Amino acid sequence: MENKLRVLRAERKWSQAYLAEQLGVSRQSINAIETGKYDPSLPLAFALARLFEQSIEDIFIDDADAVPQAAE
Amino acid sequence: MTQLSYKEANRRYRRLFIPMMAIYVVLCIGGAFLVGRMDTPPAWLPHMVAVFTVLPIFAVFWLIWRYVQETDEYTRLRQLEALSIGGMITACAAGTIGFLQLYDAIPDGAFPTFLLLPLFFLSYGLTKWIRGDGGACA
Repeated sequence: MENKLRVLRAERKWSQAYLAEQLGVSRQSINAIETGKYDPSLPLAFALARLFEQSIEDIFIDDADAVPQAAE
Repeated sequence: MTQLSYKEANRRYRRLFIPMMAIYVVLCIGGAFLVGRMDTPPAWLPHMVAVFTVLPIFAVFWLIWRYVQETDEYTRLRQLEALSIGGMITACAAGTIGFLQLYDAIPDGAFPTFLLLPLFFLSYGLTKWIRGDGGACA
C-alpha cells in the first residue's frame, strides 16, 4: 500500500529513528512501511495518524483509489 | 500478550540471553570435562549433565517466544518468518537423516543429534540476516 509517510516525515524534519522512537517500534518498521514492504496494523496506523495530526486516509492511499489513477 | 516498545523488548531479551549463553558454554565445557575425567562415572551423571546442558537452550527458546510477544508488529512478523524457516530446515534435516539411518544408508549415530540445535539457530539466524530486520534475537 502506498503512503505519504516519507513526505510527512520530511516536512517535519524527523528521522526514521525519531519517528520509530515516538511510536515504540523499530526503525526498520518505519522503513518497511515507507517503502511499501509492510502495511501497518490498524492500531499502528491510528498512532501514525495521531502523531502527524492527519486522518489515516490522508496518510495511506487505498489501492482501489490508486488503480484508476494508474490507468490514466 | 504484553506489548512493549521495541527497545524495551530488546533490552529484556538481551538481559537474560547473554547469561543463558554463558551458562550453556560453562555447562558444555564443564560437563564434558566432568564425565571425561572419570573412568566409571555413576550412571546418573551423564543423564544429569545432558539435561542440565540443554536447559539454557530451553530458556533461550522461552526468551525468543517472549520477545516475539513483546516486540513491535513488524519485528514479530520477521521473527516468526525466521523461526518458521529455521524450524522447517531443521525438521527436513532431521527427517532426511532419520530415513538415511532407517535404510542403513548411513550408520546409526553417524550424525550427532544434538547438532540439530545449532542447525536450527544457524538457519534461523541466516534467514533473519538474509531477510533483514529481525531485531535482537540471534
